[in-house]
Amino acid sequence: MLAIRSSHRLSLRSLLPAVYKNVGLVNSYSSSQSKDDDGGYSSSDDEKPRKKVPKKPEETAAQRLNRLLGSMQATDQMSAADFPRPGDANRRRKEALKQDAASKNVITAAKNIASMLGTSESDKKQTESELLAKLLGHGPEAPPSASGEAQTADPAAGGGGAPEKELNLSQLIVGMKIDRRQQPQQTEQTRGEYVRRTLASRPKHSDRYQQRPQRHTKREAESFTGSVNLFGGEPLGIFKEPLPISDDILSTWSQLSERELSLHAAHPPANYFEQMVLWTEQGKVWRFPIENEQDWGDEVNVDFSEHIFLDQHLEGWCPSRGPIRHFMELVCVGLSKNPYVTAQEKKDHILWFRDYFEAKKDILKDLMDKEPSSKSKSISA
Amino acid sequence: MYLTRQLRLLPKASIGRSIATSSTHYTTTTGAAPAAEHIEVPNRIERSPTDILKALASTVGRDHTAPHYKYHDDPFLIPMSNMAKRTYAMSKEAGRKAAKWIKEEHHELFLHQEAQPAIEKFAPSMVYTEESEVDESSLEQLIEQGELKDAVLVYNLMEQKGIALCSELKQSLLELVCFHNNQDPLPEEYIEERWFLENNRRRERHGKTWKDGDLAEKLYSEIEPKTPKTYASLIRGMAKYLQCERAYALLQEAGEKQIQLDTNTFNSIIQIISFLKDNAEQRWQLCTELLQQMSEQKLRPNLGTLNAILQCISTFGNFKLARTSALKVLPEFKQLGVNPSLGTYYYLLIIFCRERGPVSHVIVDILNEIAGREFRVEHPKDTYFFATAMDVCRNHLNDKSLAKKVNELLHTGNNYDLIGDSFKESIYYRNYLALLCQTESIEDFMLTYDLLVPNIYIPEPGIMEEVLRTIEINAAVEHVPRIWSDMVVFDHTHRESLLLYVLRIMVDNRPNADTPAQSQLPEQCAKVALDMYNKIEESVRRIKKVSFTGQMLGDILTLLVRGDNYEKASEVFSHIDKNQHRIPGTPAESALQEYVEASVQEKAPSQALAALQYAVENNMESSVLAKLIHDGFTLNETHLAKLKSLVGESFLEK
Repeated sequence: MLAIRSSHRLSLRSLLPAVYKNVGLVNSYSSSQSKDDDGGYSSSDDEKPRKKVPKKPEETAAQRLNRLLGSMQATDQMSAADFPRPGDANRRRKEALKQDAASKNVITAAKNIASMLGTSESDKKQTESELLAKLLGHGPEAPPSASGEAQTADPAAGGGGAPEKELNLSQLIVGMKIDRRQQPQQTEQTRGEYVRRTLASRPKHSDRYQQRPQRHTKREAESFTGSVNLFGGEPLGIFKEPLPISDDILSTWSQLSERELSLHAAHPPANYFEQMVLWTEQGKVWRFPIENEQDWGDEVNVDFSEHIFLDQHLEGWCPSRGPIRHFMELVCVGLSKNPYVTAQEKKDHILWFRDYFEAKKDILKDLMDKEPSSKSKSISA
Repeated sequence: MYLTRQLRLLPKASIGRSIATSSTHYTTTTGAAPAAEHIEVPNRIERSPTDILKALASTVGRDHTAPHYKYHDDPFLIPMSNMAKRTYAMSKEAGRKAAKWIKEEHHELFLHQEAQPAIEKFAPSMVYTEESEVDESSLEQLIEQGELKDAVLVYNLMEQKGIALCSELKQSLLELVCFHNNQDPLPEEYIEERWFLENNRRRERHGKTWKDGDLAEKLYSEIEPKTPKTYASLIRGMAKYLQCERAYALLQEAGEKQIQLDTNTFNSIIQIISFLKDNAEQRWQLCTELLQQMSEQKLRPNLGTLNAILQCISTFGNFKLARTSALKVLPEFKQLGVNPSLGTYYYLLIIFCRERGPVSHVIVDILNEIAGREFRVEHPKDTYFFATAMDVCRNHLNDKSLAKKVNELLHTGNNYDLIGDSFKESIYYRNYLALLCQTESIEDFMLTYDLLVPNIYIPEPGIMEEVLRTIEINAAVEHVPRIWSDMVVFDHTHRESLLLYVLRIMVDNRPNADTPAQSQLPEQCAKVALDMYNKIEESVRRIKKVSFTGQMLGDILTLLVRGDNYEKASEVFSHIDKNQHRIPGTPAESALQEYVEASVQEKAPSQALAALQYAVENNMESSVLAKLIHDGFTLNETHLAKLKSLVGESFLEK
C-alpha cells in the first residue's frame, strides 16, 4: 500500500491518471464511512483549508483543481515542481480547459453516489457534501492523524485494481460549488471567527486542545508526581542533640558579608523617600528626628552657662577695672556670642590673654609710669 | 463639622444609620469621659532615623503609568527601550562618578565646610601615599570601612617602617583580603551599576579566581601561631574564589591538628563539594561526612548550611538521589529550628524541576508554604527565587494560576526587594508575559500588558512575537495598531520576522467594517502598513537594514488598498514594479487582485494594466486580472491593444 503510494510520489503527473480513475472508489469509500464520521473536514485542525476555502468562494473549477494539485504536491516530497517555470501559467490554463470539457456530469455523479447510500433527501445531501468535503479536506495537507493517513493511502492502493467509474477529480470539485452555495454566509467570515466557531461546536474533541499547550499536555502525560511533603519526611539523623548557637568566629568577615548581603537586596530608590533613606544611611542628610544638637560630639555634656558666662575665667588675675579689664570684658562678650568655638577653646583663649599680659607686664608698667599719674593710679589699683 | 464630613464620605443608603450611630457614639463618649480613671500612655518606641522615611515610602507604591523614579522627569528623557533604560540610568551614575572624581582630584576646592555638624561624606577622603604618617588606628579604621586598597597600602607602609602590628589587626586584615580576594569591590554607592551589572556579565565561566601566593597567603604565613580564625579566613577565602582543592586540604589539615572551626567555614566547603567530587554518590558521601564532623565538633548548622547542602544536591545528575536526599535534609533542619529562606526554595525548585526530569509540582507545595509571607534577604541566592519560580511556571508546568500566585507573593510586603537585579527582573517578566499570552484570553492579557509595558518591562523581540502569535490566534486585529506603535517605540522594526507577522495578521484578518468597533481599523491598518513601508525605506541608510520582499510589499499594498489609500498604494506598486529584479519573491496574487479592483474603482486603467503586465512578466495567474480589467473599464484603443498583447487575443473574444 505504501509502496504503491511512494511510487506515485515520484511525480504528480503520473499520479493524476490514477486519481482520476479511482475517484469513484474514493467516493464509495468515504461515503460508506460518512455515517459514523462526523465530518472530517470541518473538524480538521489544519490551517490551510480553513484559510483558503472560505476566502475564495467564486474560483473557477480549474483554479481549484490547480490549487488542489499544488498542495497535494506539497504533501509529498516534491519540491522542484513548486517553482513557477516559464510557460507554466499557459500550460495550466490548457489543462484546465481539457478538464472542463470532461466534467459535464459531475453533479449527477455525485448525487448518484449519495442516493445509493442515503435514504431521505436530507441524508443524501449530507452524504454528498461530506463526501466532497472529505476529499478536499484530506487533500491540501498531510493529515496529522493515522486515520487521515489511511484515507489518502487507500485510493492510491486500490488504484492498481479496479477502474470502476469514469469520474474525475475536477468533477468532484465542481460539485464543491454546490455545497458552497448552500452556506454562502461562511464566505464573509474572518478566519478567527471560523476557528472560534469550530472550537465552540466541538468541545468534546480533546485532540483539538493538544495544539497549543502541546508541551504541557505531553509532559503531564508522562507523570504527575503529586504533592511533595517537604518537611515531613525522614530526617538525616546526623544532628541529634540540641546544639548551642555558634557564632561566626570571624568578626570582620561576617560584617563584610552582612554588608554584601544587604547590597543583594538593594535596588535603585523608587521614590523620594527611598532616596532620603539612602542619603540618611550614607550620612549625607540629617537624621530623623531632626534636632539642632545632632552630632555635637564633645559639647553635648557642656552646659550653656560655660559658653555664656566667661567672666569667671577673669577672676584671680585680671584687674577689677582699668583698660585691661575693659579689654578682657569685650573679649568675653565676643566669645560668649560665638557658636563655633567650644567652651574649652573659649577658656583657653582667655587664658592666653592672661599669659600674654603676664609676659608683657614690664612693658605695661613702664608705659603706665610715663602716663599721667591720674591714670596710672587706676591701673595699679 | 464632623458630621458633614462623614456624610460626604458615606454612600447615601447608610447616611441615616450613620448619623444615628455617630451621634449616639458621640454622646456615649462624652458621657464616659469624666468617668475614665486613667489614660495609659504607651511606652516610647525607639525609632531608627530611617523608620519614618520607610513608612512614608511604603505609602507611595508604583505608578504604572510613570517611568521609574530614577529617570529624569521629562517626556524627552523617558526611556522607551531596554537599551535606553540602561543607558539613561548608567549615564546618571556616570555623572555621579564624574562628580566624585572631581572631588577626589581637586580636593583643595572643597575645604570649606558649610554644614554644622560637618558631613564626613562630603569631606575629601584621606589620601594615603608613601609619605603618609600611619599607625595602627588608621589601619583599623580603614578595615572597619572595608577600604581594601588603602588598608593594604597602609599595611605595606607600616611594614616598611617596621611598625609592628598586633595580631588581632593582622587577623582582621587577613579577613578583609580573603573576603575580597585582594580586589577592590564595586563601591557601595554605585547602585545602578550593580543593578545592571548582570546584564553584561551574562554567563561568565565560573572558575578559580583565587590569587595563589598573593597577600592573603603571605599574611596567613606571617601569623604565628595559627589560630582557628586564621584557618577559617583562608579556607573561606579560597572556597569563595573556588580554589577548591586547597581549601579542602586546609580543612583536613585543620582537622588533623584538632583545630576547632566554625559553622560558616564548613558551609563554605559544603558549597564547593561539586568541584571536589565528580559523581553524585561521592558528593553526597562527602557532604554527609562533613555534616558528621560538624556534629562531632558540636557546631550548630544554620541557614547557610542548609542552602549549601541543597546547592550541593542541586548539582547531582542523579535525579532520584537528589530528590530523596533533599527531602531528608529539609526535615533535619526543621528539627534544628532553621527557617528556610527564599534561597532554600530556589534550590528546591532547581532540584525538582529539571528540564529532562519528570514534571514536578513541588512549586505548588512551596507556594502553599510561603504564600502571603514577607521575606527579607538572608542568603545571597534569595534573589534567584522569583525569576526561577516564574520560569518553572512557564516552561515546566505552563500554569497560569501558579504564575499569578508567584506574582502575588512578589508583591507582598517588601518582597519586591528580592527580585534581584534588572537582569533577573526582566527574566521574571519575560516568563510571566509569555505564559499569560499563551494561557489567558486576549482581553485579560492586554490588561496585564498595559500594566507592565513599557515602564516596568519592555518586551524583547521574542516575547513580541509571542504576543503577536496570541493576537493572530485570537484574530484580535484591533490590537495591532497599538502593538505596532509599541514596536516602533521599542525599536523592533528592524526584525523582518516581526514585520511579516504584523502584516500577516492584518491581511489575514480583514476587519469587518460594519461593526462600529472595527470601522476605524482598515484606515489604521493602512497607516501601520504605510509607516512600515517608510521605516523600511529609511532603514536602507542604517546599519541594520531590512530589505523588502515581494510578500511584504504585497501585504502592504493590500492594506493600503483596504484602507482606501489608493494614492500610496499605487506608489508602493510602482516601487514593486520598478525594482522587480531587486526584490525577492512576488506579491501574493490576491494582493494584485485587490489592487486591480481598487484601480477599477478609482478609474485608473494604466495602473491596472501595469499590474497586469507585472503579473504576466512574473508568471503569475493573470487571467483573473485581465478579466477584471476588461469588465471593469471601457478601455480605449491603446489600453485595449496593451491588454491584448499581454494576455492574447483569445481571451478577449471569449
